[in-house]
Amino acid sequence: MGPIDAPGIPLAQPHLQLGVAGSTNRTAEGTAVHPFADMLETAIASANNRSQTAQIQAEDFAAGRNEDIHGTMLALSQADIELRFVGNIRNKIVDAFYELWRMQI
Amino acid sequence: MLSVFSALEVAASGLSAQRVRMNTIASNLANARTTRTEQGGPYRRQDPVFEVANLERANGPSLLERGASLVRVREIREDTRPGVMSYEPSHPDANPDGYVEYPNVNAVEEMVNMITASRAYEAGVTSIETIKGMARSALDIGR
Amino acid sequence: MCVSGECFVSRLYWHGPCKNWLAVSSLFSGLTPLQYALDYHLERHNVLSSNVAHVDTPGYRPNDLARQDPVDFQNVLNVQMLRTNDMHVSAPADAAAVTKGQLFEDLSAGVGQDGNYVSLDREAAKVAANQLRYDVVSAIVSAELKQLSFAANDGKG
Repeated sequence: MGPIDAPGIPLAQPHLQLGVAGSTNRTAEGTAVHPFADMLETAIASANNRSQTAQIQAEDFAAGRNEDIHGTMLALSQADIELRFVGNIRNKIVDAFYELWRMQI
Repeated sequence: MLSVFSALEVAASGLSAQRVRMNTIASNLANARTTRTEQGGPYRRQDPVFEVANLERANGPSLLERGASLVRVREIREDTRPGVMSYEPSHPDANPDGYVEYPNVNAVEEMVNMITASRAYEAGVTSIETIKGMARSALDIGR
Repeated sequence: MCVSGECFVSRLYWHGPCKNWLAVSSLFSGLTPLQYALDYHLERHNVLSSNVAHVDTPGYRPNDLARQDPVDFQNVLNVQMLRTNDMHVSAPADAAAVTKGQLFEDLSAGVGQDGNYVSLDREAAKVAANQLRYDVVSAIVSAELKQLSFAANDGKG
């Protein structure tokens, strides 16, 4: 007889892949490259996009256009987490800035 | 992708089909001794015939594309087996030879069918409870 | 641009235009296979539920859905046991909407009346096992989200 239960599901570990936070570099042409600032910008854009698509998914579910329950719940949770994550990064940067600001005097 | 709602449609179609089956069984049992019908002749045992049906969805693939389907009652078929002949010359529905033809309904067979229909109905109800449970655990994601 | 592994919107059948989705954040990449697992178990429930509904349909052959995950080592070994069902229509136009499962006929319960191959007990057992897996994966997803939430709140709950 064939199996009653489906084969097991491999669990993947969540991992954070942040860019390397480094000081200002220069490309071959001599223009400044800011890896950290770029990373922050894309993180903010990503969080914003994720929020928007989660919002769309939720609206579509309410309107009956989307029937994916777990997908929608997952999208909403992820949007929330990413938004708070990026928000905390921003707070840290602002705190660091003010600390430096005070140091100059 | 198929969804919770398509699963509910599938299970509901199964419940409806089994209910039709129950009704025909009830009709068979009630008319087990009916010797005269409007068409003349004794009552003929009835049986529903089921078939596969598709469900087109606006929000995703149709059921058949994904290996699922609804149950539909194609027809309620009359059992063509001959009835039971009984020698009762004084019966008003006796034929010229004095035999009365009673319906081809076997009470034991109908009871067995009723039990299996009941089991199948319960299985459909379990299917609905299962999908409701799954939807509830999906709602708990991220809560 | 849609990075199809990350963009969950593109996996929905009704999908409208993707709004410049920059799926750069791989915070949640570990959740993608879990979401596919949830999709799979939901689809499988639909298939099994059909089998249960068709217990009295003459000539009905029950279907099942096997995992088709390239990362799943166990499934590679099971490939020989699968037969493609000719009921299975080719992939829809939106490739991202293709189910992560492979449809096959499970006739191992044997033929019964009217050429119907459905065993109610077997299908009910499959439904129960499938639901359990869905619930467990759902709980796992919640736990992982809670971890990420904790990290996102900078360790302050």
